[in-house]
Amino acid sequence: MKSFNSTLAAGLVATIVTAQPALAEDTIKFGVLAPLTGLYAIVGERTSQGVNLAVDQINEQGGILGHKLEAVIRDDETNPDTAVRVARRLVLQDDVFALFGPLHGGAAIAVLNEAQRLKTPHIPWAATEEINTVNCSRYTWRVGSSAQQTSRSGAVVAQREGLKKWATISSDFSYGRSVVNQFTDNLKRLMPDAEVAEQAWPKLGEEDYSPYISNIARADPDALYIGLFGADVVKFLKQAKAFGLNEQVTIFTDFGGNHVVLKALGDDAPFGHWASSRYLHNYPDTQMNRDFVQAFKATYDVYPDMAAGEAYAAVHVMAEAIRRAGEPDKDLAINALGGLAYNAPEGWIIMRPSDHQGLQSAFWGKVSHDDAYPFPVLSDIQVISPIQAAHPDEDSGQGCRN
Amino acid sequence: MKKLSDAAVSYGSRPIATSLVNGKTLTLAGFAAAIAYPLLDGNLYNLQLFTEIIIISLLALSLNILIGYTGLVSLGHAAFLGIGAYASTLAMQHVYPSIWAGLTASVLSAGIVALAIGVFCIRLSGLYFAMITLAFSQAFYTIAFYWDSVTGGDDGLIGIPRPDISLFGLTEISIDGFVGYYYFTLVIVALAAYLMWRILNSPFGAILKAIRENPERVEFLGLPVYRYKLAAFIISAAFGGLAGGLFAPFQGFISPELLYWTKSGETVLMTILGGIHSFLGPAVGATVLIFLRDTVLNYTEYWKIIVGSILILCVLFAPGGIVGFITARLSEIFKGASK
Repeated sequence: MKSFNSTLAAGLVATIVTAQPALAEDTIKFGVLAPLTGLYAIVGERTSQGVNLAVDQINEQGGILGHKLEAVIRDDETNPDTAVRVARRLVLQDDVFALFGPLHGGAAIAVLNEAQRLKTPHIPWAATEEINTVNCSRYTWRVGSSAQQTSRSGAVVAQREGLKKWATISSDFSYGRSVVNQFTDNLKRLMPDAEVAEQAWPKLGEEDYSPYISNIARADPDALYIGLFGADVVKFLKQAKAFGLNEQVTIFTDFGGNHVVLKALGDDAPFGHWASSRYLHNYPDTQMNRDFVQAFKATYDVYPDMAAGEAYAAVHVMAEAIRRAGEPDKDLAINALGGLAYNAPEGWIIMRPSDHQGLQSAFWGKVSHDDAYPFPVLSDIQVISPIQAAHPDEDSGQGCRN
Repeated sequence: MKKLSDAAVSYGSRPIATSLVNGKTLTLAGFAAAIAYPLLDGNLYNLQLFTEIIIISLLALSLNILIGYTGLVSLGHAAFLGIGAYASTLAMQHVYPSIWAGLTASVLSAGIVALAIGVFCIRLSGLYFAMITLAFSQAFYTIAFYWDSVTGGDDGLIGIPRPDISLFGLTEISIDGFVGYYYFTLVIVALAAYLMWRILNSPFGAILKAIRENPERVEFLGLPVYRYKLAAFIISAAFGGLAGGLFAPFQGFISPELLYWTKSGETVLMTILGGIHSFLGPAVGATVLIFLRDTVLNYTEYWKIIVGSILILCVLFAPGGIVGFITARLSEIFKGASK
């Protein structure tokens, strides 16, 4: 018996000793594409921070099935061609287990195509609806909200507020058009007597919005829906406020509830008007979100924005899929993604198998001051469930039979 | 134009044709090495990088028909890469799923478009030719960007196939994998480059060079300069279109970025960097630029600063391009020996 015990002890020691180097060798790598340079560099920085925080936390808790996790983050230059090149390098050279990103819709679709060819799991940052409708692929699953979910839920708020006569403005490219079209589509479904009086389509990166603003004012709508993205929405809202548009119409800003936008706007934010964000650091007030915000703030000394929140959730979802698969196998992990539920800082996310979309609630709120923060935040949050806002199940999933 | 002729005198005291003849052994050795490469190195990443280098080399070679041989600097050559890529994709996805259908469509469409716009472009020379080619290419970029129903708009087209090729109906060869497509590209580009070399070293090619040096004199000889220039423009575009037809299945997706003026600029850069006074110079330029980008990109996202600095040094110290620089040094060394 004694000898059995000592053999057991020796065996255990040996296992522990040999387990250490084995852990380092069998590292699981996540390849991340983000805009680290150019106009969206700030989004890229937050994305990287969200990914790194999730990776550090997973490693502190023993990694994934005993494997250490490592993120390889690369610049996609917000360009589809570069994104494919980088994705290829990440898979073939760096041997990553999964691809994440990019933010740019066209680039994300290009990487989706490449991920399918390389048989590698892929979670895009882009919210473009084409990712899980016409282009839906076995290997690509979106954890973050889709663009149509945010804009369709905007129509739900519009109905609650009883706003009938509308104007819209969005950038003239596929994502911009899709955001506004989904909003007007759902608006007319919910309120058949609603009217869209004016639609403005400035080019992406427009500097001077004054002709568009005066056209909108002339149409005299009850409300304005803004589908502009990134720096464009900041420029537009500043010019609209200077014009006095905020006093004339109720403003709905699709991307405007994002922390980076509100922080950039400061006193020029459209106070009292509606805005949405796919992640909010002050809502929901759950243990999960409080812990995330606290850890993020402690590590990077900034508040997490939408990009950080979605990147953090995406890494955790993929890690969970590998755990469920039982081994780091790409195909088994993909099989495990369908139906997976994850309690993210923004609330529960359920991966819908029919169209590979992570179902979650959408948030709209009123831009306001809060003494707890030195920048504008959203309050009076309206939570719109995916049943009310997500793309109907039967419409999508055309390409997801494989 | 003055500058071009000066460079031709300093580096091209030997005619362009001989630089390939001298490099014949080198070229054949390079081709043999390219055939053997996949057997020696199993790294798929490097293999797909070489595939891209081979395709883009064809693009740079085709541009040099205009720049180096005819003396026309086009700033819109990417338009033909893009037209070829879209034509081959649409042909394979909607007409007939064969790579031959795709490549034929890419060559024909680029050639036809070149005929249509060449009628306007060729009448101009120098800066005006550069400007009008730039304008036309931007027009095609805009069409690709906004014609959603056909080109997929700014998202582009995905799922571009690499259909199996059938050899005389006897056997099917798959070119879907990295190795298969590498060999397919290598063979097609080698054949295209050989054809291009034959064209440029024919009497027709000699007249193009004469037009580059002195168009008035060629006119006085009774030769229709305009038609020769138009023919050069169409041939250049057709080979550029072929590069596009190979690129689309390689990348698996295409977007309007392919036609954007920066892509044209990049191609001009490759051509000049490699050397416009030798047939294979532009291919060397393409190889160096793609390798530099790939290597530096792996270390820093600010790769453009480093690549840009290297290019400035090249332009300052090797105005005849890399190949021009090397041949000039070599001829200095062997001057005594050859006499």
